Amino acid sequence: MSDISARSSPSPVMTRLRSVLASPSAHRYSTALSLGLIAPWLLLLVLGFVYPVAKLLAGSLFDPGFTLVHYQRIFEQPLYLKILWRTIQIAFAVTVAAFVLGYPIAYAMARLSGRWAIIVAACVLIPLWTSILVRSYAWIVLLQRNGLVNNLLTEIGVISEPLRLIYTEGAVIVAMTHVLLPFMILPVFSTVRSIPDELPKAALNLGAGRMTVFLKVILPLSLPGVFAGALITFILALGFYITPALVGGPSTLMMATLIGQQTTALLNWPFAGALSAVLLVVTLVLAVAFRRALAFSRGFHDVG
Amino acid sequence: MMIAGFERPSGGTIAVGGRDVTGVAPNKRDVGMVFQKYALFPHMTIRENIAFPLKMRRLSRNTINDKVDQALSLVRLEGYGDRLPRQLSGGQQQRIAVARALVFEPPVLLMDEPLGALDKKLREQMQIEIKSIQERLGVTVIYVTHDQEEALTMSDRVAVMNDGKLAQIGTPIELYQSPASPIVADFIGKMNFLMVEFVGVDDESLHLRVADERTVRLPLREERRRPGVQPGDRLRLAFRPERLTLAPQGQGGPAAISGRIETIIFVGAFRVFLVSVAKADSEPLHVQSPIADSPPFERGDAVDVVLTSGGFQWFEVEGA
Repeated sequence: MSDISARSSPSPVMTRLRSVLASPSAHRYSTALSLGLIAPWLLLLVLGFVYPVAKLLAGSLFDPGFTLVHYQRIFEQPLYLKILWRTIQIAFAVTVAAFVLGYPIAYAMARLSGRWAIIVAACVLIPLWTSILVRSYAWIVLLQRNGLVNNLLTEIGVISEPLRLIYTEGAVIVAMTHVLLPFMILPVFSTVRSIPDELPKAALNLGAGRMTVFLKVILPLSLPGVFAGALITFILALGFYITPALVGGPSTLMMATLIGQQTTALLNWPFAGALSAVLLVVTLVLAVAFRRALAFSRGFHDVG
Repeated sequence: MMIAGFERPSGGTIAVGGRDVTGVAPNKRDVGMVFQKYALFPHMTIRENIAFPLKMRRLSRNTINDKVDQALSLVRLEGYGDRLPRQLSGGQQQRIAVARALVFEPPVLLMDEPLGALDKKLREQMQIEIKSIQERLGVTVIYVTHDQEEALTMSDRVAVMNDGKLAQIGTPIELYQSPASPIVADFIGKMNFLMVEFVGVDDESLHLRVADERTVRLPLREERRRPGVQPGDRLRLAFRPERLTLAPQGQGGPAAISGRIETIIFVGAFRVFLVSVAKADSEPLHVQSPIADSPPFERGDAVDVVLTSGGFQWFEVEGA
């Protein structure tokens, strides 16, 4: 008897617990359960990201008392602003190049089917799975003084002296574009792919030529993917470290490389913190500005 | 798809109003098309959607505005021009799709299962609406559907396609009353089929043997006296549920098939009796009778299913 009564009227603790864990609708978790589920990730984020970054930023402001001297240094010495400006320029150039090169590939990937789709997808993804270090070294092999490109050009007689290809801004842009290309291709691919087949067909049927179909239907509808890809590429490019460090020379120093130098070679942590803060702010401002600019585009709003 | 030019036929020609368009690209065809899922451009307003074919034809801005207004009023959605497609209901989107396909005045309007995505009530409403637009504009509409009822109610002529081949083309009444093949018979409306053996024919009736070895004599009309089958040949007898009546077993006369009532289904305006025929390797026969004078039979009763003159048809069994 006691057994039955216990089962039919659950203890108040159990009821409380259930009301916390369960939620009225089946497809939503209760707040407590949601918090519980994200707790491990949150903990990792706080310990592994928020804390060190906060520490770094705090270090840039307190040395040991409150000071703005490190920030002053950034804005007073033209060198650092120049590096910041160059970083933004290179990131922008990389984004544009990735779009120009990536869009056709993404479009082809979305339209192809069967064996060719797999081949193209493999060509895009395998580099992505390859270490950035390997891909950057590959560019060194290609571009160095006795590298493939110089040798080829000398062999066929286009040039007599090897060109200075590596350690230039061009080399940095080319190599970074190559490394970041998949981040442009994949979002574009997924939006182009999600455009229903009937839409280009309907446009054709209504009298549009192939080019008009692309410009009026496919391109506007794929803009959300383009913007997503451009934003990812741009932000990654702003903080890119390995590739510029390897294929770029002192004349193409970028922010990330500069921060790296300050921390590992010069051990000037407060100044590195100040540089990081500036880069972070610039990145955030540009990202927000980007989204703002896009909010005007109806195509973006619609589908995204 | 071939009519609109998206696929090429392996042979033959496609002509619109006498103009051969077989090799013409889709964007030069002037065939209006309504797609199954509307295919409105989600990033354009309703006005821009309807104006699209006109802009492609480089009409002047004023002409375009006038025509768009006309098209919107044709589908009775005047106030909706500045909305986006997703702000409209399914039925409204479908009407916009019709307006967009008609605004450039194509000689042919192709509709590929246009109402497939709508619920039944809305579908019926749209059928009437499409039909009335068609009548007002006098445009030829080619309407693809899997819904046989839709095919019967909406068309002047129906072409039944089976396995990529044209099975029959004719008015809905022709198709319903004299289908050319069992496939057409089965597709258009409910049809009973029964395997029988041809015994012979005399002046006014056809003698057939049913599975239970009983001979049935069916009254023949003049035009139906078709030779070409030999005694002993197997035939597929086809008859519509509403052309049958029921009688107590033994009282059905010569043109009766005996059976037993398996189930009675109430379908609102009428009642359907499912009658199984002994030893016949077929589905139970459907007998449909109006509620008002529905025969007083119960489930399990032995009955005669009586065929009426002209209410049946036979097909030779292929490969027999």
